[in-house]
Parts: sequence; C-alpha cells; structure tokens
Amino acid sequence: MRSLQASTSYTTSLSSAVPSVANYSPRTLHHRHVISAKGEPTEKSVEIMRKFSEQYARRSGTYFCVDKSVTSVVIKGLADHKDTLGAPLCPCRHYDDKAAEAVQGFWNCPCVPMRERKECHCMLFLTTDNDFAGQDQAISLEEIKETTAGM
Amino acid sequence: MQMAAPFFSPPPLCNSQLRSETNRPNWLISPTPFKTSTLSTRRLVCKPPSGKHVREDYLVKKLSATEIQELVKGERNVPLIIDFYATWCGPCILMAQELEMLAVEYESNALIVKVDTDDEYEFAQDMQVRGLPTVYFISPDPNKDAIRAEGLIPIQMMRDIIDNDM
Repeated sequence: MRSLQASTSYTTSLSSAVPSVANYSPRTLHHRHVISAKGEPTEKSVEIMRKFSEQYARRSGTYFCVDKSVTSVVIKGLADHKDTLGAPLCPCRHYDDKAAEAVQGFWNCPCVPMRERKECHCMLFLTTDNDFAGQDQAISLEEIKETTAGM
Repeated sequence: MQMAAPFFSPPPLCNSQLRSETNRPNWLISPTPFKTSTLSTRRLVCKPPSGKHVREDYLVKKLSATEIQELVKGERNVPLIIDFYATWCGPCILMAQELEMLAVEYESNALIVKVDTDDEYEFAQDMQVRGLPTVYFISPDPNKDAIRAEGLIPIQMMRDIIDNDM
C-alpha cells in the first residue's frame, strides 16, 4: 500500500471550516497518512473490476458510456482503490479519510446511490434514458488499455 | 490543370511537367517553385493555420493551492474558473475537454485552471469538494458570490454562467 506523509503547514481556514479540528493533536495534523490514487493499478485488479463492471451492468440493466475512455478510466480508478485500500472506493469523489470510507462502505462500488436508485455519477453504469448511454455492456481489457494509454 | 497524385514524394519527371504547364498558382503546390533536386522540400496542401491555438501543452493549466490562492486574492478583471478533478475520475475527462474548448473560445476573457484533488488534499477539503468534477466560477467582482457546480455540466450552461453571472 502506497502512502504519503502529509507534512503540509496549510492551516489558514482549517479552524473555521472543520469543526472537529480541535480533536486533532498537532502531531496528527502534520503526520496524517494521505493515500493518493496516482499510480497505475495492477493488471489483476483491472481485470477483476472489468469483469465486475460487465456483470453488474448486465444485472442492473445499465450500459456503458458511448465514450469508452470514461468507462476505462473509472474501471482503472476502482482497481487502483482496490489495490491501495482493499476496496473499490468510488474514484469520482473526494474524501476526508479514504481508508475510513472504504471500511464504512457507503461509497464502495456499487455504491448505495447506485444500488438504490441506479445513480452512478461516475458515468460507469448508465440507464437507457441517459444521453451518454451507449449500447454496450461489455468492455475488453485491450479497449481499456488503448483508451487509457498515456494517462 | 494537372493534379499531382502523390502529395509528398512525386517523381522528378512530374515536377518539371507541372512547372512548365501551370502559369497560375496550383493550389496543391506552394508558391515557391518545387526543386527537383531535393525531394525533402515539403509540399503544402493548404495555407497553414496561424499557429494561434497550436500548442503542445493544454490551455488549462494545473495549479497548486498556493498559486490559486494568490489568483483569488490578487487583482483580476476576468472570471476565474477552477476545476477540481482526480486522475481516475471518468467524467473529469469530459469536463476537461469542455473546459479546453471554453479556454479556446474565451481566450484571455476567462482564466481557467485545474487542481488535482489527490495532490492538494487539504485545499479540496477546505473548498468542500465532494463529488468530482467540481467547478467553481469566481467573479472578478468581489461582491458577487462564487458559483459552484458538481458533476458534469453542459458546456452551454458554463457559457451562460460566465456571460451572465460573472
């Protein structure tokens, strides 16, 4: 698991914006582990998330985006979070604490909004009435590699 | 008017025929006479673009939290648009394409920048960024409120915000 020590001294608006900042000791603020999703995910995780996406699209009656690069990027994001956090946390959100969110599970793919209302703001699973929905419920590993080459 | 079939490597024989037969400028051939000795001279199919928007890098620049804060605090007479994104966020790709188009349209009449939320973790937190992409529209007028949009929004909506609400 890759992690970065965040030793930034950025504190200008922290005290006003975050009510729980008083509970953090200075040590915690300056040495918080920040897990960054910046590297390439492993091919194994990409394959797992690819298969999951295909199965879930079929099961939920949703389709992939007409622009397959969107689908590929999200699948890689899910794979990356699976590698770093152990769970496929939604890559289209910003979190205060990624590890805690992965344990909590609300935003683990398929997230609660998707399971309850078929709302996927990542544009991975699109209902037929969505303008961006394509005809496919399948995507190959080659397609993922091609469309994310150079990212 | 004789049309040259292969544009980039015509045999020397064709060139001499072309030069003698065409008195008017041939749209296939550049104004300068084609040298039969050097096949490496480029033939221009059409007048090249002025180079105004031909760049190797993107128009929308990635900035750090410090640089953004300086921009917000400093003197400005154009709207500032900040795009919060993440590496593996799919809709952020589409939003980035839209913002590049806007940057070309508005040129220096709007300042469009982007922030990687994985790099600038605390800054994104302070700006209450949750869903990605999140775009902030900040007017040059300090009395006007900033407008915040979460998720992919149509390019026309962004034009309307810049034209009417800034």
